[in-house]
Amino acid sequence: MLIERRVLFTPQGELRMRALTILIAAGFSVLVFRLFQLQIFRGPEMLRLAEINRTQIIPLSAPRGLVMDRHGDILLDNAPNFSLFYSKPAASQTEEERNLERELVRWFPKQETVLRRKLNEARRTGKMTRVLGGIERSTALALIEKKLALPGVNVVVEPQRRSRHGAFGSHLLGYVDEINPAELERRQDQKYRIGQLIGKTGMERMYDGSLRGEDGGLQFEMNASGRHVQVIRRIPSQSGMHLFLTVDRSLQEAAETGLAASPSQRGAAVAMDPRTGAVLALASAPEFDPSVDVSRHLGDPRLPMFNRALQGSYPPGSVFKIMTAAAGLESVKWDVHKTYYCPGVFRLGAKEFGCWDTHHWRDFKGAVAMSCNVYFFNMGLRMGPDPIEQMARAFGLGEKTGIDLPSESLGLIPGRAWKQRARKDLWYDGDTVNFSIGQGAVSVTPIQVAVMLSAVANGGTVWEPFVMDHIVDREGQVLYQHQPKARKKVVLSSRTWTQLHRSLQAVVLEGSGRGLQRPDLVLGAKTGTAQNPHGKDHAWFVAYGGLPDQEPSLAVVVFVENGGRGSVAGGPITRAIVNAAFPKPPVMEVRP
Amino acid sequence: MSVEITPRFFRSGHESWLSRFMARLDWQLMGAALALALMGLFFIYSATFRSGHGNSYLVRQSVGIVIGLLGMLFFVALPYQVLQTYARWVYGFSIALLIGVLIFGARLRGSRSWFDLHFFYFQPVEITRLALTVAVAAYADAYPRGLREWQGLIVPLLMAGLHLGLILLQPDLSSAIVLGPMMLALLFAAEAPVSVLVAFLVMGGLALGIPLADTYFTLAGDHFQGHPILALVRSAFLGKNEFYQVWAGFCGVLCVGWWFLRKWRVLIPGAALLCALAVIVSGVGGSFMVKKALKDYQRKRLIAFVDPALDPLGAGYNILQSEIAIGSGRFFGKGYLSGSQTQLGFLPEKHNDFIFSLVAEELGFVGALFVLLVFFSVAWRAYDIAGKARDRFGRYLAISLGTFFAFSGFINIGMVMGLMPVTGLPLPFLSYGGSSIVGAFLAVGILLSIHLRRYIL
Repeated sequence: MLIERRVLFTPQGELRMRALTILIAAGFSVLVFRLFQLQIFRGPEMLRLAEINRTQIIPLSAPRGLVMDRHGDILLDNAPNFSLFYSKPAASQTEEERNLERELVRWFPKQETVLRRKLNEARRTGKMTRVLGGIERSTALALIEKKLALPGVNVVVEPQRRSRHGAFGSHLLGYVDEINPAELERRQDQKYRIGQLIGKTGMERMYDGSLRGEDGGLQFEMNASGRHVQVIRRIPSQSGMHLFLTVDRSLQEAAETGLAASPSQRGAAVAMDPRTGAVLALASAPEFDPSVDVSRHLGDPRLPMFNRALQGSYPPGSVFKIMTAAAGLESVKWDVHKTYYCPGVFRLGAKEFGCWDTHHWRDFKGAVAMSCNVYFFNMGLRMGPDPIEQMARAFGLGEKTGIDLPSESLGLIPGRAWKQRARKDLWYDGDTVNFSIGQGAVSVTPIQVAVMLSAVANGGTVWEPFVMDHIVDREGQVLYQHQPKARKKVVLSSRTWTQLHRSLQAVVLEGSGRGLQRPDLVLGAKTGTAQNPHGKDHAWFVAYGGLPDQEPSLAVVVFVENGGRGSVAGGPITRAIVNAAFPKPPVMEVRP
Repeated sequence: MSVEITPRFFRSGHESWLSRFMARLDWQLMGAALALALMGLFFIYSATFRSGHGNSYLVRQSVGIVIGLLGMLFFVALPYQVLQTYARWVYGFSIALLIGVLIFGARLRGSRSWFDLHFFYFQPVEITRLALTVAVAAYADAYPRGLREWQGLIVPLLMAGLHLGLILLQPDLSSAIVLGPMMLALLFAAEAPVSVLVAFLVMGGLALGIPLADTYFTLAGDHFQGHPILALVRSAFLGKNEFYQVWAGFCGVLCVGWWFLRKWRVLIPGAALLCALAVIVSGVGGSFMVKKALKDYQRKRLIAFVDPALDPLGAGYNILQSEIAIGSGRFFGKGYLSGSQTQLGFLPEKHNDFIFSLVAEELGFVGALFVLLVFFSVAWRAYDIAGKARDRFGRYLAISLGTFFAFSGFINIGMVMGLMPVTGLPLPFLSYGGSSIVGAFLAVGILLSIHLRRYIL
């Protein structure tokens, strides 16, 4: 028989043995519970985290849709471009990060600030981030060779927006850049993501949703030190839709060239088809180069990022006399044959209002043709400010035109109510005098003037101007065709229309717009030289017309900021645009 | 007194020593140990086959297992009472090893804990802890009544303290910490007064707590801006001299207070005051050691489990990745050799301290629970063996060794699951490391020997 144990142990000792066993059993129960919690309760969450660890997605940007002018001439397309992406490898330590940063700065010494900012962003978010775009081909290839020494760095080919004609139409077309947090917040519902390119201004911004297409992606398996193990899947990107504009490249080019050659090299030009409201050209000078980092333009005192055609609000000067004339003819049955004497100055009480010349006796046509201020002072005082204000508002001044471009200004049409509200003062005759020649508080944008002029040309239809004509999808199917939209109709008597057209045509035939004469066209025009408290006068030149016996098919507005005399600064530009729209017939060669 | 009746076959007069040996051996313990070691081999392969070192990890670990098994057989064959007889020599030998490693040892990763034996590094602490156990168990057996008074605890605590000090000098914090529970369990089983043990537990806790709190407050940076009380506490821990001055002042207040209370006939035993002072001195000393011996990243590891955000790229990262590895294994795991966290290198020290996470990722809850249960069964077998041992020496020895397995397992697995600080304590049997596996198998050998010789007649 085998005896198991000596009688050395006390009951107390046995009890303690049992206590210890219970203690370790409790300890292991805690471990089992924790294991259960991690693997069963939080298993799905942990699996997701493991997947995030394991895979990285490089977004493959979709090529943006093409943008073409009305003749199918390509204005914007895409060029392959190398971009550098970075995501912090999971196991990367501070020291390695510092080395990588130093190495990359050595590669791109000029972009050091951007580089450091983007690398920090990548580390903070832990996501695949575009660090640099537009890398030169040779640099990109060298980087790809060195990739093993640069863990976490990826060089990929991305389609980059390219303007076929450089800065051509930069204000109209706009530019693209990475989406900023504010935009991301605003467009939450539209599937934008950090680092995505988005249209910032112009057509790129207005039609971003159509142009941007669907990004693809390359999903990698990546190990802790940031090296690729394998490609898991590749989702191809889908190109965006293509945009056909109403713009005519030759007109746009004429406008831009003309503005660039103008005295101040600052200004705007708009050409419109008065039959539809289609914008044929929309230029603002100076232009900006959309291919470089636009932030460098921000400090430029000439404000190249400012779209003067839409955002700029200026005193219209004598161009506004069209409105005064229309209001006078309509409201007080103005006798167009009655002449008024212009001594070169107009006295109202103690104040003197000057005319730019001494025009002596002038009737309506002559006063419009020579842009006589005194004549219009008399007209304005006779009817008061209200008919002028009503007429200007009827033609769409003082309100947004509704063009499909961002950041339009309102302009300002003053009046009794406005003065009471804004200046807490009564409207005086002096205000009427100023108002009737487009001076004082009144201000307009070039696009508003173009809409007004079109309405004059077409007999009262105030169009909503548009730049996008139709959108086609990747297969060339037309998805959307824009229909011209009349905002309102100004109804005036036929006498008024006839008198307006005659007098405006007289501007070309015998007045301040003689430089525009074309024997084969019927043209009306008006010049304007707007005084401006901040500096030299602004120059305006507006014209409309077309072939004889046809509806006018062109309305042109040219504005030169601080350009001086309207006929001098604006005339050549307008002429160039008109000539681009109506190419001169070949001169007949007479052979003996 | 219980009696075990063995089957008739073995009781008959013509039984051989071999059949008796086979019948009395604790197959469950040996099976569990072998199963864990084999599993360790498999997962060391999984962790390292992509490392570019070929099979060198696997070969070294196998060699370790073979040496361990041979050592185990030696201890099975050796009557464990021999250890009791030569306990003084065993203890002396262990002290010699610990002093030797401080003088002749190789410095690896900042600690002088290894003997460089050319073909592998030998870590003596894996053996000396067995020796310490033997010595203390022998003492407890020799003076059973003495241990029930607190004065009787002085000698065993001095013996352990000497080990502790020498190990901390290497420094090897985690190996030093594991001695505490081993000794406490042994003394507890030897019926030392619970109050004294609890006092020691509290003291040990404070002695560890002060350095931990010090480390936490020093490294927590600006976490406490705007929290007036914590910021005040933190400022007491910052700065070199202020820290010691504050604690010296505190000690002074204690002494003066004790003296005044005595004057007013409020008698508090002097021992209590001495204990309190000892705690503070050991805590401040420990804090000094931690600051002096550990690098910043090692100190961060100590406290990362409290707040992984303190060190998101270092120890916090390790814990997080380990938790992700374990959790993402879910119920059935991702399959052997196909754990993404492991194979793609997100899991740190995967063949070593974090091998349990690897098992949990690739085999899932099923596999991890299996490991936990087998590990628990090793500890449970040791306690059961202790319960059935024929003498006190055997019982104390078995208790201490069982506690070593249980505590190491608890600390290591708790660490990889984010419950315990990152101390760098390997998981016995599974973690890569020759000395560790040899030490573990030697302990199993001693346990088997105690079990084999449990009968009096």
